[in-house]
Amino acid sequence: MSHSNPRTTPVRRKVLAGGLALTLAVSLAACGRSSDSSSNDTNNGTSSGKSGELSAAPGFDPATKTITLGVLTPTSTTAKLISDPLTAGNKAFYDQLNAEGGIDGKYKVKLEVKDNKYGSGDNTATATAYGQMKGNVAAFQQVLGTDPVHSILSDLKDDDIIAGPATLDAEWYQEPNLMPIMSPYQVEVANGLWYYVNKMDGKGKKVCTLTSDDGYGNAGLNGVKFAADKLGIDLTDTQKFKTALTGGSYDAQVQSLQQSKCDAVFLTSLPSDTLGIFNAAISKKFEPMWIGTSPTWINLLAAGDVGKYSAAHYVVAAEGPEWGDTSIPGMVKMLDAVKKYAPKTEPNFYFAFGYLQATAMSQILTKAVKDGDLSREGIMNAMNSVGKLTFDGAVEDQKYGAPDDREPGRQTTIFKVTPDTVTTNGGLTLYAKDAMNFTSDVAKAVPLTN
Amino acid sequence: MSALADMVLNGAGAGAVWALVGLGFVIIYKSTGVINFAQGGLMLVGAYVAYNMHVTWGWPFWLSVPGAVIVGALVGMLLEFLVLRHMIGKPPFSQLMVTLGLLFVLQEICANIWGLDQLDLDSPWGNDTVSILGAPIRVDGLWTIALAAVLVTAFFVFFRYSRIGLSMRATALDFEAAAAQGINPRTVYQASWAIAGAVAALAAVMAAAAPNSLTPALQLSALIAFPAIILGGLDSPGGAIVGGLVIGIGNNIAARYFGDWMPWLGQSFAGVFPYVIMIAVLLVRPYGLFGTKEVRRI
Amino acid sequence: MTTLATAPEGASRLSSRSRARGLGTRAAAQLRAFPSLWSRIGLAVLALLVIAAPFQLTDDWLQVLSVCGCFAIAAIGLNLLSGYTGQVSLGHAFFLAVGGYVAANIGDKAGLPFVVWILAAAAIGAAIGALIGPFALRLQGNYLAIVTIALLFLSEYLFNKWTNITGGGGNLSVDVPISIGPIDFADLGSVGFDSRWQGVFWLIWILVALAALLARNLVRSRAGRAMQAVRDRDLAAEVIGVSMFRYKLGAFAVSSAFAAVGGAMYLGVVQRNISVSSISGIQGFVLSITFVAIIIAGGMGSVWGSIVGALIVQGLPQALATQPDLLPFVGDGKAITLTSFNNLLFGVLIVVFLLFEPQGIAALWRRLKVRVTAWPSRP
Repeated sequence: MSHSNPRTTPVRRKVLAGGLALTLAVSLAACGRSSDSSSNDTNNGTSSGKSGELSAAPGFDPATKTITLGVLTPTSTTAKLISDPLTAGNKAFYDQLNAEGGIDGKYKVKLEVKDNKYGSGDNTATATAYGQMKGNVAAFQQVLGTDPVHSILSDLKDDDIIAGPATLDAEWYQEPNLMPIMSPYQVEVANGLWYYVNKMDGKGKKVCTLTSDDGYGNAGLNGVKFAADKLGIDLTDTQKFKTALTGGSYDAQVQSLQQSKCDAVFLTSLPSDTLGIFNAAISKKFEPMWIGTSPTWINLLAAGDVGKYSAAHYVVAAEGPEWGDTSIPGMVKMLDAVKKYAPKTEPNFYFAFGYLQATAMSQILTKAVKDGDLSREGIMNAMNSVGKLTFDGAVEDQKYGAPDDREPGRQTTIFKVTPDTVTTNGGLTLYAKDAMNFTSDVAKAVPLTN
Repeated sequence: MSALADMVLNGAGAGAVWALVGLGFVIIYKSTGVINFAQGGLMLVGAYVAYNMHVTWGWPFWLSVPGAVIVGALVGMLLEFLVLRHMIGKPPFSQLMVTLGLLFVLQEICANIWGLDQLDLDSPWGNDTVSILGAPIRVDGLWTIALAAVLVTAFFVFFRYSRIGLSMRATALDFEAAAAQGINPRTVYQASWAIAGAVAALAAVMAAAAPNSLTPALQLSALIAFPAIILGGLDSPGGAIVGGLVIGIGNNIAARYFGDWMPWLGQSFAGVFPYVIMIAVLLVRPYGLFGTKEVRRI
Repeated sequence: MTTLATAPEGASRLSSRSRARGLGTRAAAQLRAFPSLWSRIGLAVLALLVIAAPFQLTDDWLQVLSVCGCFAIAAIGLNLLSGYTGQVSLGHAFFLAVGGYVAANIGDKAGLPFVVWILAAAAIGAAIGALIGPFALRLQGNYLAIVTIALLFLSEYLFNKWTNITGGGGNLSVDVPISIGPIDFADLGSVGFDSRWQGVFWLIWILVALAALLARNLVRSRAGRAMQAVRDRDLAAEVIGVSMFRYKLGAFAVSSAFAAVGGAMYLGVVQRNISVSSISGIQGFVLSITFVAIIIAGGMGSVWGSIVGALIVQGLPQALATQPDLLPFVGDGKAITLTSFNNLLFGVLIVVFLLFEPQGIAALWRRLKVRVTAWPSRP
């Protein structure tokens, strides 16, 4: 402010203005904001509560005995294809649990969903939604998208909140504030390769890869590379593509794989790319065995001409039983939840994941309730000391705790595509009896770094 | 040989989509001097309307496409009537930004009507191919190339001989002089937006012709077409075609062979290859290969 | 061709007050940073609001306002380039990314203090911005706009490729020091702060104030007038001896420096994570458009407008999100989702401003001010 014409700028005025500002600031500051960061008045965490009753904490209201969990997931972008069934799976689990009384038979769970716009250009959406929700939730049941999870990792650490990532990146297992479950992508492809070689008559055949040129694609590529090395296989052709937002051309990659005469191609892609890749392969009459990671799949791949192609030339390496397999207690329980609370749900892989994810979180909350502490520290401690997460046979139980005490899932199920059964099992049928939740030495050894 | 034919001809098929998109840009730019970012939004409208007519209402495909083209033209005229007409004489950058604003509006309108799912336009071609030089060439790609050829010829004739086409060129050259000659600039603007909307619908149908490829992301192909348009020159229909084909073929060649020739570049270089070509061309010829150099006055 | 919306900077600021004193000429009024007592009082009140905010607002609001602050800094940079110098850029996000990676490498990896990494972000941002300058000399208007888009796609490739700077794998978490001397803004327990956001808010808005002051001084200098001459009539400016090379290059450098500082704060301090896909490519393009929308709404060729624009474009959607009752037809399961509504609003805002008030809020404000100061006579 020092450059103005001195005749028109008496120093006195500046002092006056500055003084005014300071006085007002101090007097305003004296009022103070509420003691915590939240607009919710139940989160002081100070009231000691009656004996046997848990103290109030962010996202936990002892008066109504309700625990609120956050869900940060896209509700307005094309990623809805995945997020809608996933969130429905979360919800169905808690509706079922609440009907039985809730966590530890006493505390109901409520989900609060906010759009994180994953897949749109809005980079601030997840962090902003997180900021608006954090005062009102005990933990985050679901955060969808690798980038969105990264964008709130530091905040989670600052605030001592735990969150369930809805992607299978192996790196999540190293994060103290995340609650990843099931087998990472590297395990899916390592088991997939082992199964192809030993059970799908793949000995001596040419194995190739087609992976997206990003962190997800590289996880798949590294998994295959490791497993191939261990199993003594030379990868014939490793092709990469840049995720095309417009169903772009995959001609070059598919042609290269075709000219390399690949018998099996390990595919790490998102559904929109899978559709485009199969279109290119169909038009070139390239018919290897595509072995895809779980997110390559979408129900659309079982429809129309693409469905015929998928049925003959594509298997999915995922985890868990076939939809509707009533020999598995976990599946019976989930089908019951579907019938009662989500009757419109069509069989869907992502719904099952959402249900299992909620299963895991409920076990951590149960531990926290038993320990008598539903504060954020309490929930964190509960996760670190839970010891084991169980899934009633749907997927293998996991040794669980702080990052050093966790054991990532190492099992995989190989599904084939059956367009005729879309209404009964979502179009994914067990490849063979021995294809469910199996593991292999090579998958047990695969390094889980991206 | 058949491998190279595959890359070149299928690349040309993909490039022809960009050429069609580019024609839509060129017609607006040529007559109004505006870069129309709303072109992607017009594409969405066209493709979804075609979907609605063909799949939802069960009209035959050959009837749905002209239907979508007509609706596209009407939407183009509506935008001109509601917004662009009032921007005449404003700085070019303001006009460009208005079209960007319209892109967001159109995109949300489509999302609210047709949702965000991946849809199947159910084109008659599916994944069909014919064999040329021993290579399987996509039929939808060949149709796109043919359409682009027909359209660019039509454009040429239109701008050369039709009264309105000549008016467009005159208006673009000198707005006031054209108006003084009795040309009604409103008619010119209206016509160019109608044509742009129609071409956008056509481009969109071809871009979404492969099974399951109608998504809201379709509008981005207008953005991805920029290197092609700039390469040819913003005001040259022929340039749009050449630019589209060069980029389409170049893309495929880069993705197929660059990884082998120059492993240090990596295969993902193909994704940025169009932009590299574009910048290189612009540094040599700042108005594109076939664009008109502007005469600038003090 | 390149002429942007030209802002009549100061043209209507000739208030009756300065006329009455007989001291103010048009030029003199323009040259002063804060021409009247009232504007100084206004500033004092603003300063007071910034000081008081962390004591009053909850974390979620501080977070939103911190993002607004970072965007304001970057938008000031874009305004210097587009609003004052007339050079179009649709690739501003690239320079934010540059700032972010400087913060990650110098502030986090090398562990150097705040003042060092923030200045390094400005310096490296300026250097890289200057590299883009020559393109602006060669290309005109629309062609330049498209080349700046190309920057976003090229940088996406480079960021993925250049892993020792960007970490590879698409995401890089950043943890940078934000203390100046003994004052650690991350932990201001000494003034009674219990949350990191309170200190972060202060730090960012101090930087906004510094950036605004710097920009105001720049545009009032000889260089600033030359920039505006380049905008209004670039060939004519060159004829009368304004070096186009120097000022176009300079404008790109300065603009990029601001963007890099904004980006370093946004990615390094607010997000604490840099995701290649969300800062470059298609998503980077959407982010870049956001900045253009900010300066359109706020006012081309107005430093204060850039800040107001950032508050509107970035802050308004959040305000709406917290007040669901204001818009009864918006929400899940209602006529339109909130996100959809916000996108629609974003588009409509751009269109409406350009149609009815191309000079943005800054011009509305100026008109209002003239009305008030000239009352009861009609200006």
